[in-house]
Amino acid sequence: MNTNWFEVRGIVMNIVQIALFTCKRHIRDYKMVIALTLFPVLIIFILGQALDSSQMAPKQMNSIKVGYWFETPIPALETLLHSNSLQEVAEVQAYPSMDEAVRDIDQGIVDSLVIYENGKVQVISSNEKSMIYPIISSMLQAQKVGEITSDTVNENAVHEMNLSKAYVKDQIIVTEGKVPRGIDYYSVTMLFQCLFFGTILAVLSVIRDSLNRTSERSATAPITNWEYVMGKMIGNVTVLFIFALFIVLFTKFVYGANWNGSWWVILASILLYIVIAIGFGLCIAYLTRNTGVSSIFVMFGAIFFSLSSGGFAREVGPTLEKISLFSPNHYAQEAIFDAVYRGSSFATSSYEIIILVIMAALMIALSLLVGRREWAW
Amino acid sequence: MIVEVKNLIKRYKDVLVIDHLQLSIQEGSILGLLGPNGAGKTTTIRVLTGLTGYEAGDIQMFGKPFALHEMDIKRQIGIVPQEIAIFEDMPAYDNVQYFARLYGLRGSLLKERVEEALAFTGLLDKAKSLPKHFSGGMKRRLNIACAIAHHPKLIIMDEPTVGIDPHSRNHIMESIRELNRRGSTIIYTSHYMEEIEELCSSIVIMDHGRVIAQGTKEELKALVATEEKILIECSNRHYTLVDNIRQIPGVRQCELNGGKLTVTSQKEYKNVSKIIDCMSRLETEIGSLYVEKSTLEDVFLTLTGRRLRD
Repeated sequence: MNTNWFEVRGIVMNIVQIALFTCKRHIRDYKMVIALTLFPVLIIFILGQALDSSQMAPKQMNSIKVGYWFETPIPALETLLHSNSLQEVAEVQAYPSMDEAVRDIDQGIVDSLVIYENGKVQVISSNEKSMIYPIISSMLQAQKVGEITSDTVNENAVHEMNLSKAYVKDQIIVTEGKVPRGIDYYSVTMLFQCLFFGTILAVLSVIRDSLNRTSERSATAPITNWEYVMGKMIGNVTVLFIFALFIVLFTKFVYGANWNGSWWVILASILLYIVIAIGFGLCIAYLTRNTGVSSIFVMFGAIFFSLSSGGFAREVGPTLEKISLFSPNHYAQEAIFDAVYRGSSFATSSYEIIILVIMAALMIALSLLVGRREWAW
Repeated sequence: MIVEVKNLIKRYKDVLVIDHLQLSIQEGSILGLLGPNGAGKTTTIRVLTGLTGYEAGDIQMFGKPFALHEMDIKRQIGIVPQEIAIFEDMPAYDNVQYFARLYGLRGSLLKERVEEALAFTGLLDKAKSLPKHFSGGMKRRLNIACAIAHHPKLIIMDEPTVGIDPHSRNHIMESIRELNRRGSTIIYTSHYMEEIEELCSSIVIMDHGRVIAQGTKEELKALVATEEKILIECSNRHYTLVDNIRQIPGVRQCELNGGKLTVTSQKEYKNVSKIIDCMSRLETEIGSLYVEKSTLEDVFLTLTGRRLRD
């Protein structure tokens, strides 16, 4: 029993020693530290600012023109249409006859028309600005004015109306803080892309040790090959995790990015992703035994996984969307977006977390397998 | 015996690099491993340190089979690789500490041993310096420090003095003797024959993956030394001196060059006294006389047909 305990303790101490030394070496490499911190901070800032207005941020809402014609006067509804709250978003005008009202909506002079006829309120819209319908609808329902239906003047209008629902602007108005702004979105996606670039840490730690023959020397010490590879992995993961925390905190407090979700989910997603990335780096380094070739693989992997998972642009198309199912970025990002914007907890994010755990386990196994054979080449 | 190797066979694909190697190393000795490039020295070291597997054979170290007690055995070995194996971007202290920890040293003992190893190699005052700023000799010494902090019983040194200045070489040579005095057995490979002669109590000559000769340097020289070269500085020479010496049985060659007489004679005839007698008879004054013995280089050349650096 004692022998086993001492053996286990020795194994753990060996792994910890190798991991700590790996960390120490990386942190002493100030050029690498600067690159790992500045690059993501800058790229998140640039993308967050540059793409915010075009893709993410709410658009300036132009005032919509709403006309109405009532068969018989409804003072309550008229009061609602001329209320201050609606005046902020709409210019409302009354029509003396239905013919005039219909002519104006046909010609696009007004965007929506509210008609009261035969005891029913109907909203007719000419284009995407038919968002007046849900506004009026909710107002009428609140006041219990009567039944309301919606219609459009042509097929295009229906299409436009559907499109309008996907507009960030629309969503922002009603669900403030529930959809990422540019800086929020890129803080997450670029974090993962940069973490994958950070895989180069693992590559360098393996290839440098090989070139300076210290891996071979370590192999003559009383440690097993898997202890060595595991130590390397833990050391690299620790360093990258520290950098990730720095980036998260920096973007949160300096850029004001939204990271207000379950920290368990956020940290678990980041940690698992780093394990996957470092495992990838170790395998590539052991297999290629060349910094240049390994770097190409890492760069390709970082860009490909990020691109397919919407790292650069949210809409990626159906093919890339399917490919993204094989990308760890996809699951890590989804887990974090779920946590931040849909309030999911560790339990409710279990699908993404489980996939990440499986991927991480596979990468650990693969790097141990490859490293076991190749660590002291 | 601290190391006992029997019938060791190692192949790299179809090439037989170690061919039924037999090797015995006595505890407390300094064993010199000699051989031309490709003789199998480095492969033998790699096998003994567990870096490379082997096809067949039996290796016993410290009285235990290597295959069954690899970790226990490795704990008692220190290796100084031919190529400097240190982290140039980490301070000298951290280098020694890292490797010492891999051998299980912890706490105050670790600190003590690291400082001891650095002091032993003359690098204690450079403990916080980065090896990338060190001279070649200092790097070599750090290479040694990394191998000895855990007080190994067996130290394997693969050409530890390659490419360094005489001062560092002397330091390393003295360090090796001191390590041996402290009880470590040493396996030493070098291309410098004089180092092996100076340092090693026994010598193994390898070629084509086999041990072709093993013994003390005197035993090895005796294998090949059938002739001796006698160098005499003389004056007031008689004109028949050279002819007279050539008449002595066993003398193969006699040449006079300026004031220097060089005589090559078969060792078994023990001709030194006869030559002196001859010179006395002819009233030739002898300034100095030196009998040049055969060197390990001669032994090596005779046994392998190649010079060590070929």
